[in-house]
Amino acid sequence: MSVRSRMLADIAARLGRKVSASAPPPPPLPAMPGIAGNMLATTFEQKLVAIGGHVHHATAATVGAVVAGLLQQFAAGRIFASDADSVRALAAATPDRHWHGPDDPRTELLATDVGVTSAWLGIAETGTLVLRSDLERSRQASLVPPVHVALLDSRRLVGTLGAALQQLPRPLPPAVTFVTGPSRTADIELQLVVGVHGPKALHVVLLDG
Amino acid sequence: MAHHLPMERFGDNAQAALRDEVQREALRKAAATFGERRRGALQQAPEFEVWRTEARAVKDHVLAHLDHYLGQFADNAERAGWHVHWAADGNEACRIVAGIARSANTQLAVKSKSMTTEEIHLNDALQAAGVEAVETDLGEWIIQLADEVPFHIVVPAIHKTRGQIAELFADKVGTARDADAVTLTAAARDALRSKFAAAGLGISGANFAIAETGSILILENEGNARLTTTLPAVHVAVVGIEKVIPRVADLDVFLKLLPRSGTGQALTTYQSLLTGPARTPGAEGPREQHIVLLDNGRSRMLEEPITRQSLACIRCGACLNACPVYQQVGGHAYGSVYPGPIGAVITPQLLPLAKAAPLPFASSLCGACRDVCPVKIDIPALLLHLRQQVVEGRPTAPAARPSRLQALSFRIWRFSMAGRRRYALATGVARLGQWLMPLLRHLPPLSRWHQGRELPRLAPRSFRALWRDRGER
Repeated sequence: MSVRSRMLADIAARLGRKVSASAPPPPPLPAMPGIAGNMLATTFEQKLVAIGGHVHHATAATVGAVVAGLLQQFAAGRIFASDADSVRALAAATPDRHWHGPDDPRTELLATDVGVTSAWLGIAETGTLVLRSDLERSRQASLVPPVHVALLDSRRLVGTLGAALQQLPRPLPPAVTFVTGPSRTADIELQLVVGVHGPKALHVVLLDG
Repeated sequence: MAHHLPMERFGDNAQAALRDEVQREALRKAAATFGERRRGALQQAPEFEVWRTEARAVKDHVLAHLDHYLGQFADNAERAGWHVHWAADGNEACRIVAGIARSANTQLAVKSKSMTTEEIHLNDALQAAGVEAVETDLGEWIIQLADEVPFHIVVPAIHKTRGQIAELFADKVGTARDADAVTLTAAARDALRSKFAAAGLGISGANFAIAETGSILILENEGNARLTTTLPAVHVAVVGIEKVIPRVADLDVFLKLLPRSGTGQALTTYQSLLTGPARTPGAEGPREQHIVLLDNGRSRMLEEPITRQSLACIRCGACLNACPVYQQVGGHAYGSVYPGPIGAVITPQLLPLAKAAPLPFASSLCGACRDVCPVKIDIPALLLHLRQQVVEGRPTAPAARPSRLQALSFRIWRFSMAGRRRYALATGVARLGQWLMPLLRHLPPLSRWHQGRELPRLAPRSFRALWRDRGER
């Protein structure tokens, strides 16, 4: 008897029966309040700013300039870019800086100043970005450098966490990462400090349609 | 190797803790801050009560069908590329993780915060196997550098002042002796980055395991769990069997409850929803991922509905912050990985009851823990249930046996409550006896009780006597 069947048999015995291959359906999902469509962008911005993030507005025509301005602000010499098409286009438009990609040696990636990625979804109710590892290699670029700049198409905003979970594809990609503001800790006397292991600054560039 | 205080001697530990003024100040601050933040978060969430009921319904459902959901989780996890291991106890789990470290051919592992790995003393087991396990959560790292055990399940180093941490870092990492929190945090980031870069194994826990997809979800604020599950070539998650939930959609209600209850946040900074290693060439993340499903005494709690609810716990820490006992004595006095009200409930069930016998008594049964619990665990009822088991001689430890005076008082009480005449007699005696109170209150055992309280006086005549008089008139 394998450990698995032994442990499952033990659990079933404690529940007073034999191992069961089926179960009645789980309780119905609770109804959660939503957010009106015209309030998505304002709510997203308000929530993200409240927890220490920054929101910049741009259009397809101005996004290059907005990101260039941010890179200038952070004196970013070395930039860690994801491989999303929108991010690659930015790299091509700003060749004067040193752009790294996920295939570069880890020692170089750990020394980058700013990470640039896109985001799959934005969740208005919490100011959250959702990143999908199957769409874009952004797991490290959004995490390792001290500053994270994320491009978010405002048409990709949803109201709630529940709505975002509903839109996840099946099978799920290897990693879905939810990001709400800068990395933070309060482990020393409950004093809030940002940028402990992840970025200390999060800048979302919201692309208005 | 860090040691817990002996839990058999909770009373002595508590006495010692009460004399530690620095620690008590830290606890006062923590209780006030966490209470305030949680209340603030709840004000923004008028549906909180409904969520609690719904989350508990999901937990009750899963626990009643745990064999089914655990099997479903394991099947789907294997389909997603995880290696799934089963561990009936902590030793088996440690052996499995040490084996994974060996086949990953590494002497260095990075860990993100996991109470489950604390429970099975994984770090010691890895050390014995020649693998250094470095804690990367800032609080956990502080505890590891100080060679201590966690003081709180959410904020492990809450009992330490900034000054104490600065002294510790000055010795271990070389920062200035008066460094502030920002400097100390930056030093931790630098020191741990080199560990992340070199480690061949990442070890994490999981907050939820999702049956329908074979995924795990990890909540955090710092980003160290993301680094742990992204940078090393191999990742292993040690997961208690009670962490399973049926559907991805169930995450919604739990993610609304857990951060609000624990830290007062609407959502923690990061959630990683992980579903096995990537199969595309050049993809980021570990090439190999393992899950160790751990029982270690959990399935025993399934037997009775009252104990089963212990497994609904989502480890938010709200009951610790709300507990008047924890607020005074702190986490170490309990001598367990799981302190506070939920620890006093879980520890005696995970370990032989005799060893943890004093813990169910470490409560005033005020019910604050039950009121804040996001999944409505009736902790006072569980404490009473466990107390009953202790006194009914399910292996009893001397520490929990009532004193002779206590036993005598209860015998008198039982006698006088057993009939109406006896009751009238007892209250009659008490009515006369209370005239001696001005004297008795200065003598033990009442003198200590009276230091902070006043015994209310009985009315000169009983209700029954007054009623009788009315009838006669």
